[in-house]
Amino acid sequence: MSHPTELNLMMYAEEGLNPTAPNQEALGQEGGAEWRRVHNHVKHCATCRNAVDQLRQETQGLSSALAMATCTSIEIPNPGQFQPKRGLRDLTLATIAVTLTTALVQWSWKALFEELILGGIAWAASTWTPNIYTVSHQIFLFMQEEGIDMFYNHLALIITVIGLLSLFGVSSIWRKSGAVPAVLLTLGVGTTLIGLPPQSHALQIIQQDDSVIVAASETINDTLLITTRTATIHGDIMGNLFVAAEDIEVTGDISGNLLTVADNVTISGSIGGMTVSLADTIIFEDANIAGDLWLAGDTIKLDATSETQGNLASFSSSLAMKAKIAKDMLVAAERVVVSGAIGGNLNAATKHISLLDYATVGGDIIYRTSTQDQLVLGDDVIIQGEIDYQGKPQNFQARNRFQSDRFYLWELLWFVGAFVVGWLLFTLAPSLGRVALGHGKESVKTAGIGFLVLVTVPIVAVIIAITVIGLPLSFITIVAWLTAWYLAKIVLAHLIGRSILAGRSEHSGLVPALFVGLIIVSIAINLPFLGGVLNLLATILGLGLMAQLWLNRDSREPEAG
Amino acid sequence: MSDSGAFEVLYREYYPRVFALCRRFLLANERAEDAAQETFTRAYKAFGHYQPSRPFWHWIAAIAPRHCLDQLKQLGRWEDIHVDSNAEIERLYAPEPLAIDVLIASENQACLNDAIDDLPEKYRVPLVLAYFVHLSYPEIATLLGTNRNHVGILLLRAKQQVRRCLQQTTEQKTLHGGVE
Repeated sequence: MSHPTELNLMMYAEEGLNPTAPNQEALGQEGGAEWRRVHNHVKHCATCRNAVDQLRQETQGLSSALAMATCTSIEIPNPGQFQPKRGLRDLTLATIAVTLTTALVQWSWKALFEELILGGIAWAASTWTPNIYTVSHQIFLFMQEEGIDMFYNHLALIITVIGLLSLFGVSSIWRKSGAVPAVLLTLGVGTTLIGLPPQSHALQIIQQDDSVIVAASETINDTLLITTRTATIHGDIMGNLFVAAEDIEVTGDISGNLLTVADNVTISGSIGGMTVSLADTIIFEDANIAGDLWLAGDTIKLDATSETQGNLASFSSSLAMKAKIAKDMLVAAERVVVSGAIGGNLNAATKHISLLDYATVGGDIIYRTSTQDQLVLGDDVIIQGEIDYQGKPQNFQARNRFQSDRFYLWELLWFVGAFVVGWLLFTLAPSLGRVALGHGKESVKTAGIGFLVLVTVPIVAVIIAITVIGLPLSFITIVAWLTAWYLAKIVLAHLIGRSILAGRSEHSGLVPALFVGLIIVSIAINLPFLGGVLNLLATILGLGLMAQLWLNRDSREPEAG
Repeated sequence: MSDSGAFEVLYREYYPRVFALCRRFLLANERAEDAAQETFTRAYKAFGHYQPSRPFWHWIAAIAPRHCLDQLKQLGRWEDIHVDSNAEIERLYAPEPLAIDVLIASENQACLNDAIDDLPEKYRVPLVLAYFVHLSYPEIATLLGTNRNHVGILLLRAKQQVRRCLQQTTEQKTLHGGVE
C-alpha cells in the first residue's frame, strides 16, 4: 500500500482537500475524489493518521506562534486618530502651493518693481503738484539708501516661503505611494511656470558709491538697477533700466523702459519702452523713444534729432522741445518753447508758450495761461487743428460741476453700484444691517472711532510697509481700508433709510431702506458748501459703526436660527 | 454612533493586527505602516458596503493582502510563484520527517519570526495568509492567481524551510550550550 504524499496529507489535515469544508465549493469533483482517497487511506493507515495529527498540531502551533509573535515581537506603532491617506490631496496642495508662490514671485516682481513704480510715478507725474519733483526725489533718495535692503529682504521672504511650502509638500508625500511622480509633477509645474516666457527680466543690481560705467561693448541681458553717484551707460541693456544717481548719461540702447532719478540726465540712445525721468536737467540728444515720455524737472530739452513714437508729458520750469512727438504733448511749465513736430494735440498749462517757426501741431492746441496772448506763434507754424484757450487753470478748476452731464452720470453709477453692493453686503452680513447709532455721547464715540480708523489705518499701513517685510500686509491693509471707506456711506445710508421707514412700518425691508438711505446720502454729500463736511461725517460715522461692530463681535448674541 | 465614529473604534481595535499582517508581508515597519494606513483608507471608502454580521477582521484581512501584494510587485520582490512547480511536486512524493516537536519546543519566538521573515516572498505570503489571516486554500489561490494544489505546495515548502531553519537554530544552541 503506497502512502499519500506529504502534500496530500498536509492538505487533508488542513482541509485543503475537503469539499464540505467552508469555502471549499470551488474544489469541484476532482478535489472531492482526492479527499476521499486520502480519507480512506488514513482511516486504515496508522502511520499516516499519526502524520496527519502531527501536521494539524503543527498548523495550530504555527497559527498560535504567529498570533503570539504579533503581540510580543512586532513593535506596533501608535495608530493615533484615523485619517484617510491624503496622498493626492497633499500632492494637489503642494502643487497649488508651489504654483501660487511662483505666481506670487512673478507678480511681486512685475507689480512691485515694474508696474507699481512706473505706474506710481506716472500717476504722480500726471497730477499737477508743484512739489512732485521734490517729493519724488526724496522718495528715490530713500529708495537709493534703503531700497536695496528692502528688495533683498522681500526676496528673502519670498524664497523662504517657497522653501517652507516646498518642504511641507515634499515631507507630506515623501515615502508615500506616488511620491516620485508627485514630486516630479510639482517640480515640472514649478519649472514650467518659472520658465514661461517672462513678462519681465531677471534683475541685476549694481550699487556703488562712486561711478558705474557700462561700456559700449557690453550687453546686459537683464533688467538693471543702478544706484551710484555717476552712471554712464554706453552699452546695451536687454531689459529695463532703473538708475538713481547724481549724473546719468545713457547712450546705449535700452530694450525696455528707462527710469532715471538724478540731478542731470542726458539720453541719446534708443529706448524700447517708456521713459520716466526725474531730474533738475533732462536733455535728449539724438534719442529715439518707442514709448511715452514722462519727464519732471527744472530744465528739459529735447533736440531736433530726437523723437518719440508715443506721448510726451512734461512738468518743469522750462521746456525746449525741438523733437518729433508722434502723439500728444501734455506740458505744465513756466515757459514752453516748441519748435518741433507734434503729431497730436498740444495741451499746455503755462505762463508763456511759444511755437517757433517750422513747429507743427497735428491736432489742437489747448492751452491755459494767465492771458490769452501768452501764446506766441511763429510765422511758419503749422497747426492742423484748432486753438482753444481755456483760461486760467484755477478758473478751469472752479467750473460748476452741476452743469456737467458727467456729474449726473457718475452719481447715477455710484448710486446703482452702492445699491448692488449694499444689497449683497447686508444679505451676506445681516448683522451690519442691524447697527445703530447710540444717543448723545455714544454717537460722538462712534464718530470718533470712525475718524481714528480713517486717519490711523493708512499711517499704520505705511509704517508696516517701512518695516520691510510688511509690504504685502500693508497692501492688504490699504485695500481693506479703501473697501471700508467705500462701504461706510452705504452702511450709514441703510441706517438712515431704516430709521425713516421704521416710523411707517414695523419691518422695513432691505431694499426700500437702502434705496431711501442712498438717495438721502447721495444728495447730502453733493450739497453745495455742506457736501464735503457731510461726506466726511457720513464716512466717519459709517466707519465707526463697522469698527464698533467688529470690535464687539465676541460679545454679540448669536444669530437667531 | 455615526459611521466614522464606528470606523474609528474598529480602526483602533484592528490596527495592530493589520499592521502586523502588513509587516509580515513587507518586512519593513515604515512600509507596513503605510500599507496599514492604505488598507484602512480603502476600508473607510468601502465601509458602506461592510456587513456588520461578518467579522471585521475577515473583511479587512481581505483588503490588506491585495495591497501588500501590489506593493511587493511594485518593489519587484514578487517572483513567479509557478516556476518549477512540477519539479517541486516530484520531490514531494517522499514524506519528510516532521519537525513539529522542534517547532513546538521552540521557546524563542524571535527564532520563529526570523525563520518566517527569511522565507522568500512566494513562501512567506501564502504562509501568512493561511496561518495568520486563516484564509482557505481556494481563497489564497484566488488571491495569488493560482490553484489550490499549488497553494499546498507553496505552504509545504514554506513549512519545510521553517522547520529546517528552526532545527538548525536549535542544533546551534545545543552545540553552543555543550561547548560552554
